[in-house]
Amino acid sequence: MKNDRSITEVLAEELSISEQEASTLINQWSAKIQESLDNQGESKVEAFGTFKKSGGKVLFEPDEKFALEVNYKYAGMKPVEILPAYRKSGTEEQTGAQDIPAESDDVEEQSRKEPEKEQKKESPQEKLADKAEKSRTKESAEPENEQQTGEKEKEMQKSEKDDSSKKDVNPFKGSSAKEKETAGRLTNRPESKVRKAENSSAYGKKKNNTEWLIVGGLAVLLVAGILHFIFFYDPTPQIPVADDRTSEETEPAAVSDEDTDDPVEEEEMEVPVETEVPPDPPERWGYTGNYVPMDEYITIVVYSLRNRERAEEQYDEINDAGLRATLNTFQPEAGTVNWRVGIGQFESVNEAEEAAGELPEPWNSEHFIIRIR
Amino acid sequence: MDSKTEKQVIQVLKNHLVKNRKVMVPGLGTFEIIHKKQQQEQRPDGQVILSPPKDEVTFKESKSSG
Repeated sequence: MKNDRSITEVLAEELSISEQEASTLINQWSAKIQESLDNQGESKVEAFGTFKKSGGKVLFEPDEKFALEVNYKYAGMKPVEILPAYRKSGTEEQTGAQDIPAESDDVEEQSRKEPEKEQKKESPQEKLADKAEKSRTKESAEPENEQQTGEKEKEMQKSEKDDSSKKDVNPFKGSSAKEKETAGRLTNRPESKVRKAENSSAYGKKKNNTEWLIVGGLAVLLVAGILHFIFFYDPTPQIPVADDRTSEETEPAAVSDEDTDDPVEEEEMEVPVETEVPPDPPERWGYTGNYVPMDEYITIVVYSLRNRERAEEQYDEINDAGLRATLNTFQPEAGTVNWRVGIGQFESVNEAEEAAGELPEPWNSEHFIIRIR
Repeated sequence: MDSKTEKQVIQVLKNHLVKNRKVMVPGLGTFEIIHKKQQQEQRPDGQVILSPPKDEVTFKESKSSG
């Protein structure tokens, strides 16, 4: 309960002195702090905190133990992770992480994998494009002779890549003068080089297409297998109709020996298939119903008390109100135990927050959400 | 003021602050305990967390002092 009494009145009562004497003590104490601030710029008060002058203002930083005492209800609480940190490699494109996702981890992983795949796709093409560019730059800078030698090297590399049977890699080796001229003309033309670069890139594209075809075929097979499993696999045990069949088979057999399929069909029509509908399991998540023992869940804490009996009273009150109460203990420091009374069991923080908004007062406005493990 | 008396004054002040959540000290300022609700934060590394609630002590200097 809040008390409107001044510190002077309280001090006088606690120390059994008059209010005037209490006021004098307070003034002396304040003056001591102000003096220290004026002289040294700061004043440390043991077991209370430190006053500091900064930018013409006086700032106060509480002592660590005093801060813990003030925050005893929530002492030791750690942040609850909603979304993990980004991965460090290849994560330029990311989904919106500010919203609280329900199940977006898989989506994020896929989006992270995609840029890596795209990089892999482009790398052989990039290499070929780079080579084409390099060939263009070399042309502009070097004279014709040097171009020819440079072209020799490129043609040698390209011919090694091609599956052609031509072993004469160097077009200028052992060739006639005419061939040299034609080769020189061809090599000097920038268009031919562009075509060669395009052909090499086309070769790379064809290679990539075949890879994707293989991957696509495997994906189709996988999907077909899954669908087959879903629609054709029946794990339910068959009803033991063996005895009935034996008795009924004899009768139609006596009538006619030819028909063997009909008795089976008749049996299927006659034998009633009883499927037992299992009872609905108790709701695992939510803020109504009974408490469900589980290893990990998120709850809305509405009371954090040091008195066990009072905590149990609040627990019963919540249960009587038709809500699902939870009771957990927490030790902020050695020798002290906090009894946390909560409402509901939830799978995610988002669900807990939505449920908290539906709770009646005062729980609606005074609560906090924690993860129980 | 001797150290023993000073400690008594400080202890009374702390107890009154925790109980009343607001104390005005003449000649110095006002101490108040403010409750911060838990809130969602995104760290620079992309991690999204729900920070816990907390009660913390704030101080506001009085105009007459300083």
